Amino acid sequence: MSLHDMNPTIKFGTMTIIMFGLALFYNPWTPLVIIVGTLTIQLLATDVSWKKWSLFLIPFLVTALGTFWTTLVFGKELGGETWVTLLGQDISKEEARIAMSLSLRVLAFTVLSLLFMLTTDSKRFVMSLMQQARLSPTIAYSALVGFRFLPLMQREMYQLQYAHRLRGVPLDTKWERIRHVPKLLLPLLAGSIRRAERVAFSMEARGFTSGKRTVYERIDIKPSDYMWSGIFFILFGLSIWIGI
Amino acid sequence: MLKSWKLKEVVLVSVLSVVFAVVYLLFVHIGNLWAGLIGPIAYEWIFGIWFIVSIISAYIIRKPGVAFISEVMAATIEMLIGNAIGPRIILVGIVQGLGAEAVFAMTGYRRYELWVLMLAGFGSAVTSFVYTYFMSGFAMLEPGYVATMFGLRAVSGMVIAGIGGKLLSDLLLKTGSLRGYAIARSGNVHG
Amino acid sequence: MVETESLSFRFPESLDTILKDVSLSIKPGRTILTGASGSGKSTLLALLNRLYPENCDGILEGRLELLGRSHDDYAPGEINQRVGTVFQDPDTQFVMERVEEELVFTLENLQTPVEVIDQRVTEILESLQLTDYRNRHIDSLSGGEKQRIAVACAMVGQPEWLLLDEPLTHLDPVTANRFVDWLDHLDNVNVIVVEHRAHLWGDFFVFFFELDQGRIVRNEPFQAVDDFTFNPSPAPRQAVEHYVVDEVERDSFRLKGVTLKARIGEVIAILGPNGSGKSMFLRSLTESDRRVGLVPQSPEHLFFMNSVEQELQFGHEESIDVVLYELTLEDKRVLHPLSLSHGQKRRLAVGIQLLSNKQLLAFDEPTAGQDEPSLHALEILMKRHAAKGQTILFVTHDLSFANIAHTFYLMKDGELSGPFGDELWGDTERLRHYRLAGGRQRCHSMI
Ligand SMILES: Nc1ncnc2c1ncn2[C@@H]1O[C@H](COP(=O)(O)OP(=O)(O)OP(=O)(O)O)[C@@H](O)[C@H]1O
Ligand SMILES: Nc1ncnc2c1ncn2[C@@H]1O[C@H](COP(=O)(O)OP(=O)(O)OP(=O)(O)O)[C@@H](O)[C@H]1O
Ligand SMILES: [Mg+2]
Ligand SMILES: [Mg+2]
Repeated sequence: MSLHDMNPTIKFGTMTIIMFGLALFYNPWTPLVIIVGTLTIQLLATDVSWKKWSLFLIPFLVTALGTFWTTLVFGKELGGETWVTLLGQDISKEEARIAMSLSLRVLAFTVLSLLFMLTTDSKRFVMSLMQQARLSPTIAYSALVGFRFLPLMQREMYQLQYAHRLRGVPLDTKWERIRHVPKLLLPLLAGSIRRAERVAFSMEARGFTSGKRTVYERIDIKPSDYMWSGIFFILFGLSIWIGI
Repeated sequence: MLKSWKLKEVVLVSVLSVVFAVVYLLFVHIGNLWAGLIGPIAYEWIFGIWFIVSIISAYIIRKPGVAFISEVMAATIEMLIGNAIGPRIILVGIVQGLGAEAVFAMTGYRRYELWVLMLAGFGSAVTSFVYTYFMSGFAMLEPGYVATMFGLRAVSGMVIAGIGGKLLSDLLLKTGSLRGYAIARSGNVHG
Repeated sequence: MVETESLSFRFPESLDTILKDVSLSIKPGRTILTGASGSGKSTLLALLNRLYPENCDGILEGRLELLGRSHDDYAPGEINQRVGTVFQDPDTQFVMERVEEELVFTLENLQTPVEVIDQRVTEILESLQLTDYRNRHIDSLSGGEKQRIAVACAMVGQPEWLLLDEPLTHLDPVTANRFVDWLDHLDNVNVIVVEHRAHLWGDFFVFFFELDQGRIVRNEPFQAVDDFTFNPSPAPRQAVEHYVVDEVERDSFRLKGVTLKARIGEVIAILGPNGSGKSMFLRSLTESDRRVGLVPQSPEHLFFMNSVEQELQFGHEESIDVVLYELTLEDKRVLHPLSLSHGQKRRLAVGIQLLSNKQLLAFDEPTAGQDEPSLHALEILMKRHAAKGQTILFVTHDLSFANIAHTFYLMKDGELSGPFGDELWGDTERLRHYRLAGGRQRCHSMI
C-alpha cells in the first residue's frame, strides 16, 4: 500500500491536476496546507530518503525565497496602507500576502513533484504510460533506451579518459582530468549518437515493429490507486476550504 | 507524424533528449542561484539553452514533429531526473516545442539555413514567454521590466539555441557520427 | 531463402561499391560465408536481415528477394521475426539492461503469449548453459559472455533462419566447440555463418561462398579445411622487467594481484576460459604503469581522431606508411576510424600501439575477426617488435596463433598461473582445467 506501488500514470494525473489547480489560488493557506499534507503522506506512506529529498529541495528553496523578494520589490503597486518599508519601497499587507502565496506555491509544487519523482521508477512510468495512456511503443522503448544511456555515458566518459591516457595525454592529477573534460564532451556525444544507431539496429533485428506486441510485465490499475488519488483530492479540497 | 520516422531517428531523438535533459537541469540550478539574487530576469539571457534540443534534433533529422517531440521528451525526462517544477515542466516543453515546430512547419520542413534555425529559437522564445507571462503572473510586474525580459529571451533564443545549436550539430557532423541522417545529405558540410 | 541477381550496393557518402554484381541463391541448410576482412560480409548480412539499405539510405541495384518476397515488401522489423541475427560486435547489440529483460523484449516483439514467455526464457538459458546469467547486467559481462547471450537472444524467438557474424571469435576453445555441437543438434533452423576460421566447424556446413572485394568468387559445396599454422618466435634476452598488477574487485568477481616478470623481447600469451578475468588483468596492468600500451578487446575504445591517418600519426613524428601497408589499411587513410569493418578497426588499434614505443605492448584478443593474411601480418609485426626489444603480451582464444609465443600464462577465476613453456601442450589435465581442450572433438565424418 505504499505510494511506491501506486500506478504511475494515475499518480501523475493526480499530481498534475492538483498542481494546475493550485495556480488558481492566491492565498498563502492553500499551498501551505498542501505542503504539510504532502509531507505527512510522504512520512507515513513512503520510504523516501529524506537526505536525498533535502538535496533536491535546496535549489528550489532558493527559488522560493527569490520569488518572495522579487515579488515584493518588482511587484505591481497594489496600494493599501504601508505595512513595512524595505529598500525604500513601501509594502502593503496585501502585497506581502501575494508574495507569500507565490513563494509558498513554488514550494508546494516542489514538494508534490519531489514526492512523485522519488516514489516513481522511470521504467515503470514509461511502461505504464504505454499501457494506460496509449503512448506509442516506439517512443516508449526508445525512451527506455535513452534512460539506459545515462549510466552508460558516465562509463564511456571514464573509458574515454582512460583511452586518452593510453594515448599519452597526461591525466594523472585530478586537476588535469577536470581540465580535460571539455575535450571529452564532443567525442562522448558523438559516441552516444553512434551507439544509439547500433541499438536501433538491434531493436529492429530483434523483431521490434511499430505494430502489435504482447506485454509481459503488466502494470495494472488497482483499487488502492483510486484510494490514493482520492486522498490527494480530499487534501486539495481541504486546502481550498481553509484558504477561503 | 511518427510514421515517417525511422526507428533509429526516434532512438536518436530520445538519446539527445536525455543528454539535454541533464544539461537543462544543470542550467535550471545555475539559473536558480542567479534568480535568487537578481530576480527572474536572471533566467532570461540563458533561456535559449532550454530550446536547443528541438533545434539540434530538427536540424539533424529534418522531419515533421522532431522539434516538438524532442523538446517534450527532454522536459519529461528532466522532470524524472530531478526538476522539482514537476509536471508543469512538460507543459513548458510542449509550449516551447510548438514555437520551434511552427517555424519549421512554415518552411515546409525544407529549409534549415542559419536564419531558419534562429527564427525557430525566436519562435520558442515567443511561445514560452506567453506561457511564463500567464503562469508566473507577470501581469503583476512593471510593463517595462517585462518588455526587457522578453527582449533578452528572444535574443537568447536566437543566439544560444539558433546559432549555438547549429555550431554544435556541425561539429558533430564532422566527427562522422551523423552520416545516415538527413543532415549529412544536405551537402553544406562534409564529415 | 535469398535470391539475388546482379546485386550491387554502396553507401551514399562514398563512391566505392561495397558489393558488386552479386548473384547468388542461398538454400535452406547450413551456409558458410568467408572472405578477406573488409570484403563486405557484414554488409551482405545487413542486407539479408533488411537493416540495409533502408537504415543507411544505401544505394541498392539489382534484385534482392528474401524468403520469397522482394526485400522492399517488408515493413521494418517484420522479416526479423523470422530471421535471428547475432552481430559481429558483442558490445553494442543489446537494447535492455539485464539479460532476462532482453530476452523478454524479443519475445514480446514476436507477440509470444505472456503465459509461455517465462518458460521460453528459462528453456533457452538452460540449453545454452547460461542460467546463472539471467539477472546479470549485460554491461558487466565479459566479451565472450556477451556473445553467448547474443546467441540466446537470437534463438529465443525460434527463428526459421539464423545469421551469425563470426560467432566464435570471443569464445574459449571448449565453449566454441560446445556451441558448434549445440547448433549441430538443432534441426529446424537454417544458418548462415560468416567465419574466417572454418576449421573450428569441422564438417558442419553444406554450402560455401567466398566474397572478395564485394564479388562472389567461390560458390561450391563445403569441404572441411585445416587450421592455419604459426611458428614460435626466437628466444628472448635475459634481462627481466617487473610489472605490478593490482588486485581488482567487481561485485563477486575478484582478480588477484600479481607481479609479472617479463623478459625483454619475450612474446607472452595469456589463455583461459571466458569470464576468467583476462581483460580485467590487462586493464589493471595498464592502469598504473606508463611503460605499457594496450589494445583493448573493443578497439573502438582507443579511437579519438577523425581519420585513420590522424589516428596513427597522433603524438609522434614517425612515418606511418609501413604500418598502413602491413596492416592493409593503405586505402583507408582518410576514412573515419569508426566506419571501418571490424577486422580493420582491430588492425588499426594494433597499429596505433605498435607506433607508440612502449616497453610492453599488450593486446586483448588481437586475433578476433582476422583473416589468414592479417593473422600472418600480425605475427610478423609482433615478432619484429619483440626482436627490437619490446615485450609482447597478448590474450587470445586462437590456440594455433598462440604458438608464436614462447611463454604462456593461464587465467582462471581471476588467478594467473605460469609461466609455462611448450610443455604445456602435453599436459592434458591442465589444458582441460583451463578449458583449452577436452571438449569432445568434432568428428569429421558425420554426414
Ligand atoms: N557505414 C559505412 N560507410 C562507408 N563505408 C563502410 C560503412 N560500413 C562499412 N564500410 C566499408 O565497407 C567495407 C566492407 O565492410 P564490412 O563490414 O562488410 O566487411 P567485412 O567483410 O565484414 O569485414 P570483417 O571481416 O573485417 O568484419 C569496408 O571496407 C568498410 O570500410
Ligand atoms: N562490473 C562488474 N560486475 C560484476 N561482474 C563483472 C563486472 N565486470 C566484469 N565482471 C565479471 O568479471 C569476469 C571477468 O571479466 P573479463 O572481461 O576480464 O573476462 P575475460 O577473461 O576477458 O573473458 P572473455 O574471454 O570472454 O573476454 C567476468 O565473469 C565478468 O562477468
Ligand atoms: Mg564483418
Ligand atoms: Mg576479455
